Amino acid sequence: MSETSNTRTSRYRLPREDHVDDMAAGYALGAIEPADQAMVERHIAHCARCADLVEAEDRTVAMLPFVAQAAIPGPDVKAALFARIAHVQRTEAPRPAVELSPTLTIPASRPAAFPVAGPAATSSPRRSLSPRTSFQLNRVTAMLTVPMVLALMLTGTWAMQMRSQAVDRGDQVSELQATLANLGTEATLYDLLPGPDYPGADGELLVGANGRSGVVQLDLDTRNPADLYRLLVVKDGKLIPVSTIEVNEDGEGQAQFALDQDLEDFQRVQIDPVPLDSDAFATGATSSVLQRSMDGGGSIGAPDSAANDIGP
Amino acid sequence: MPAEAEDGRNLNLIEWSDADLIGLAAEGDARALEALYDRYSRIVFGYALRMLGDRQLAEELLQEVFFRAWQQGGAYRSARGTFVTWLLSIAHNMAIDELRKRRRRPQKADSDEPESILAAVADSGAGVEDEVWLGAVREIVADALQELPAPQREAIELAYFRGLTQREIAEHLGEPLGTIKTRMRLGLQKLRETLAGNEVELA
Repeated sequence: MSETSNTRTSRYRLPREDHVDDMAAGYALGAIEPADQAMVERHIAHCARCADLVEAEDRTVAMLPFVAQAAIPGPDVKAALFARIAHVQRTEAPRPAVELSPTLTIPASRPAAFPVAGPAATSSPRRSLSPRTSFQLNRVTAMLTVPMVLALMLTGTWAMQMRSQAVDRGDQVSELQATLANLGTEATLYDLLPGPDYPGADGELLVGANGRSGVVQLDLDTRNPADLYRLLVVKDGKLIPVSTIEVNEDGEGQAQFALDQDLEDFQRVQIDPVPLDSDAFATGATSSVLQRSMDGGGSIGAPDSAANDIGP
Repeated sequence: MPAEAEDGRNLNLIEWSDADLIGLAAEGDARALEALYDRYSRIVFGYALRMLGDRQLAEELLQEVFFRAWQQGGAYRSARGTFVTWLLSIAHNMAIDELRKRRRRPQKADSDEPESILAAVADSGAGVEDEVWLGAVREIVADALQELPAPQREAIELAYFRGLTQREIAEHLGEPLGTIKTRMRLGLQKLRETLAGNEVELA
C-alpha cells in the first residue's frame, strides 16, 4: 500500500470558494440560520482546515461568558436542585456502575467507569501492552475483572442506562453486548495508534480468546466526523476490509469483527474513513485514522520500534 | 441533601478535579455534583443573571444547568475544553433560548432588555468578590472586548449575548448582511489574538 505520509492526502479537499471562512465566526457565535449551520457542519466534517478554524472560533467564543461577574444565588436553589435529584434517583432505575452506551465503554480502556474510592484517572492512557497479555486493569478497576464484568452482564444484575442516542441503537448495542459476553474470559486489548492526520483519535480492538473475533471501538475526538469508517487488516501487502464502523455525532463508534485467522497473523490493522470512491480505497489514497502493526508483536508506545512506525 | 461520610467529611471531594467529579456525578453520586455546584454555581448564576436580568429566572436556569450536567455528565470530554466552559455553554444555550422565547412573546409595556452585559462589567457593587483567577480572566476578557472597534463589539454582543442572528442584526442596525458577517469575523479574530497574547485559554 502506498502512502504519502508527508502530505495531507485528502479525498475531501474542496475548491476554495466552498470553504466556510466567512461563516465560521457566525457559526461559533450561534448567529447563523439553521440551514447555514447544517452546511457548515457538513463541510467541516470533511475539511480539516475549516474544522480547525471553527474550533479556534469556538474556543474564543467560549471565553465570552467569563465577562460576567459572579453572583451568589439563594440557598433555596441548591436545596431544590438536590431534592430534585434525590427524587429522580428514588424513582428511576439505579445507574450501572459502568455505563454502557453506544460508545460501549470497555472497562480497561475507560478507567473512570467503575465506582471508585479515590480519584479516578482522568485520561485514557495509551498503555504498553504485549499482544497476548490479558486485560491490564488500572488501580481503580483492579477490583473487578473481565469475568466478573461478563458474569454481571449475563446474570442480568447489570442495569444498562441508555442515553437518547442509545434508544435508537438498542438492537445494535444488544448485539454488541452479546458479542462481548461471548468473547470469553481472556479477552485481549490492542490499543491503536492515531494516524498523522488524526492526532486526537483513540481506538482499540478487544479480541476474544480465539484471537480472531471481537469488537473494535474508536473515538475520533472530532466535530462531526465522516459517518463511516472501515476496519482493515493487511496481509502480504494487501488491504482486506473486515468491518464497517458507524460513528455518532461525537465521533464515537464500535463494531464487531471476525477474522478467518488470528489477528496476529496479519501485518497490520488500520481504521480508514470510508472513501467516496473505490479507487481511493484500492490505492490507499486515504490517510488512516488509527493503526497498529502486528509484525513481531511487542508493546506499543515504543517510539523506536519499527513495528509500530506509522507510515508506508 | 446529599449524604455525607460518617464523620461528616465530604470525602475530600473538594480536592478532586472537575473531570473526576463529573464522572462520579454521571454515575449518580450527588455528592460529586454538590462539590461542582459549590465550585461553580456563582459563576453560572452571575452569567445567567446578566443574561436574563431577572433573579428568579436566573436561579431557575442555574438549577436547570446543574441538573442537566448531572444527567449528561457522561457526555463531557475534558479533551474538548474545561468543565467550567462546558457548564457555561449549557447556561448560555439555555439563556439564549429564554431570550428568544421572550422576544416571541407579547412584551409588557415596561419590559426592558437586560442591561448590556458589557456595561454591567463596570458595575462592581452588586457582585461578589471573585476568586483571584476568575477576576483576572474576567478583566482580561472584558478589556479585550473593549479594545474592539465599537461596530465589531456590537455585532458580537448582539449575536452572543442577545441571541440575534446575523440577518436580525443586519436588519436591526440597518446594515448589509455582508457587513455584519465581516464585523463578526474580524471581531472574533482580534479577540482571539488579544486573548492569545494574554495567554488566556480556558476552553
